[in-house]
Amino acid sequence: MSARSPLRRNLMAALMGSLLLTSFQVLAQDAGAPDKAKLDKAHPSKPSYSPYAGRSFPTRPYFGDTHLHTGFSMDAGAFGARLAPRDAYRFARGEEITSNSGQPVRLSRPLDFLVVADHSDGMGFFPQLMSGDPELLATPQGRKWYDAIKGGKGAEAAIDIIVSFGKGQMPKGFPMPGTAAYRNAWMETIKAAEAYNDPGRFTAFIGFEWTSNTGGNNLHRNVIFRGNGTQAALVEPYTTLPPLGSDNPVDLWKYMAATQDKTGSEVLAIAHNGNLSNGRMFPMVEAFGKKIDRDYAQTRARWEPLYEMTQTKGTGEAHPFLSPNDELADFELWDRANLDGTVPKTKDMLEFEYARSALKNGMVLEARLGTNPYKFGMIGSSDAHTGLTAMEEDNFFGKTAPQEPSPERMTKAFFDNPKTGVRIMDWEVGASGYAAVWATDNTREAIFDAMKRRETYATTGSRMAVRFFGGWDFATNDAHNRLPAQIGYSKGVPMGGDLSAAPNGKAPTFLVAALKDPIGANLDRIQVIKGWVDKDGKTQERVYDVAWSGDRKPGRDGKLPAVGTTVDVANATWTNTIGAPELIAVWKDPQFDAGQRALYYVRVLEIPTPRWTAYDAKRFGIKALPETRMTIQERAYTSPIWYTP
Amino acid sequence: MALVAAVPAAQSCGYHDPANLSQGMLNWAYPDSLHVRTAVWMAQRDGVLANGEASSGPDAQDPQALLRQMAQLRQTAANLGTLQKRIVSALDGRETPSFSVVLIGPMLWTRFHVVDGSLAMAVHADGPAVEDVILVTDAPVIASLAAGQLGPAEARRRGLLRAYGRPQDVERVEGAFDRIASLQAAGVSADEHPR
Repeated sequence: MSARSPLRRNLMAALMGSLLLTSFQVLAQDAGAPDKAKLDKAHPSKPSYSPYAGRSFPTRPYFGDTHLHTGFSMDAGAFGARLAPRDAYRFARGEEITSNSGQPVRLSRPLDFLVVADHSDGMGFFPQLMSGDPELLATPQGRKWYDAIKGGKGAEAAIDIIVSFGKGQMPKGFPMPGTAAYRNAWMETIKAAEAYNDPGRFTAFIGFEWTSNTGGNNLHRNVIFRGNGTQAALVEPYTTLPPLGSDNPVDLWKYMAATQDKTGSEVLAIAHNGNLSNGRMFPMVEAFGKKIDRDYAQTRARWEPLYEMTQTKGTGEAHPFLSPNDELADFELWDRANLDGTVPKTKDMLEFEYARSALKNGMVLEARLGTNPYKFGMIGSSDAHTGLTAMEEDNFFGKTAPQEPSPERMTKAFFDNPKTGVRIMDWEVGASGYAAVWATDNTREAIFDAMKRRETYATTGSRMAVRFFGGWDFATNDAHNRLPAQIGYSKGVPMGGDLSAAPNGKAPTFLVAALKDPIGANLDRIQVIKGWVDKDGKTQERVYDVAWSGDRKPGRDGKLPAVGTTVDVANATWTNTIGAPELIAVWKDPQFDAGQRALYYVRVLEIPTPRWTAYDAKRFGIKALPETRMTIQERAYTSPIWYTP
Repeated sequence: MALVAAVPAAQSCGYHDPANLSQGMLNWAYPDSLHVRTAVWMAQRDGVLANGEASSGPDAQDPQALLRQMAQLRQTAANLGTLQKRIVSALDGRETPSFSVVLIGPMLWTRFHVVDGSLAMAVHADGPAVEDVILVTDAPVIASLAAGQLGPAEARRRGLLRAYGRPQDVERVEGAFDRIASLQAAGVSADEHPR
């Protein structure tokens, strides 16, 4: 079309006319700045044919493990784990590798992300020692250990190493921050993550575990970097032994602040195993001799947005003593002592160990201090010390190298302290769990950001998909929509979010949906767990069944009958002839008080399936000890949604 | 979890299972020696080795376990003795480097070393000497080798017998074991072989 063509002239005239007209109208009416809501209403954008075009919310959960040890961890190494961080990432990405005990092993399907979180204390010690490190072997102590291990006195050497470490009497060359050996181990950890990080396909985070354990009380945290290797290499992990380190979480948070400033990489910390802290994981009054105050609350809330509430050493959602009306609270518990079994558990400790009680107590502290230190989301992870994040019941490779599959592992003691009588059998170790993260992409940045906003849930190993939204206007019909997330994000906030200022006369409504693991078991039920602070400032809780399979009816006590079981323990099989592949519901809090703080989270249960012990019994043709649990109801726990008046 | 970092109080800690620690350390000293444990149960599952009682250490809270282990030790010592005789016979005056056998289940060390031209055996040794060839295996394998039910080459092929040391020494020790199999195939027992 030429510039002088009649069509062009007509177009120009039309455009100019409309511009002039518009200018005239604006000037004539002096309407001021346009109101976006009115403009949107006046000019509704036409939706594209594809309902999925233009979506900006997370559309799938990414599954991973934020807590895996390799042979770089002193304890893992002491028990014979020789797999290294690179092996761990390869395995998590779906490769078949050879386990520490020589068995071919592969995941049923790849994971989406992994954090190799080796203990910061003594990181890389056994690879260093047994490679004949000249600096270490130049010391009498190092030489003695090396020769003893080579000379068949490995146990004596290992115990001597343990004792020496406990006393802070390690030889020159021992990997501590600032030494060449430590730098080597940390750099290899970083390089492994960099090598296997594949944005969009697999995320390999850089991280470590800070292992505070004074008096045998577990206060461990995993520290994760959002950034890359160049950033992480600017620092070294924080340790627990003074003068370089500290066993006080407050000092870890100071390290994290300094690390963030120095590297430009955000970091977060995830605590775990409150059940082995003997009442110290979620303090209400004081910690390390200092009163819990606003500063403690703010700092903890800043650095610890998540809590690892299920793993191989027990599931720590709730305890029957604390939740006597929750018949499902008694699940894969480890509640006999602290971490090393030196101090047996007493009931008064429990309140300060479990996720549910901590979430409730956090609201009490918020009322008192202005900040909730325990406003955390939920994740699960493995804490395996094998380099293998193999947490499927039919593919469980244990917690430590000696616990890799064998005919003996079901009948041996994992832990035995004759002095205190605390004993935990290997069969009590759980094949749990994984972290599920609703991120927009499979990248370090997107997954980390989703963790920070707590858009996460824990699973005990299953890969079910769970949605949970809270708002004021969800209606029954929303549960009939096939795109619940579309409605969920438009009418409410997702798991990890906040509700406040209840509209007059309204109670919060929740949209919950769960899809079974594609290769897993059907679903039994969805429950909403509500915790609140009553008018007297006391914490309360209630469990609601909100969606379930089949035509079961709650009994007079309000309890839903059990779903039943199809498990054939002897053959370690089950069928999906009971349960439902998906469950969805809209639920409204029937006892809402707009003046009281509350939180809501979701627990999803699968139908019973064989526990790893049943697979072992079948595959090895062995008889389990009488008390061994042989079935399990895998479950997921979402991050809460909080209501603040 | 911190199994090691957790224990400043050291000996009071329940995580110190000496057998597990010994095996773990062995896996560093002699890489992949833990694979033998898996090879053993796989061979038992496949019927290559007899299914015996577990050869790991006793359960501290089961007094019967100690008695069972003592019986196992006696039987294993007898099997090792049989093997020694066969090796001596197979060597037929030839020298062999000294070697140590470690049974990875009970972590039992046995030294075989030349004394006055003869191959001596010390069961329940503290460990190997510095120059020893190390053979990692387990009690059911020794039983089967002693009984002539399993050949050394097959044991190696199945990962039931792993050797560590200077290659030329390993070759000579393995050669001695292989000669047992050859003699057995020829129908010559240890007792009737000419010295």
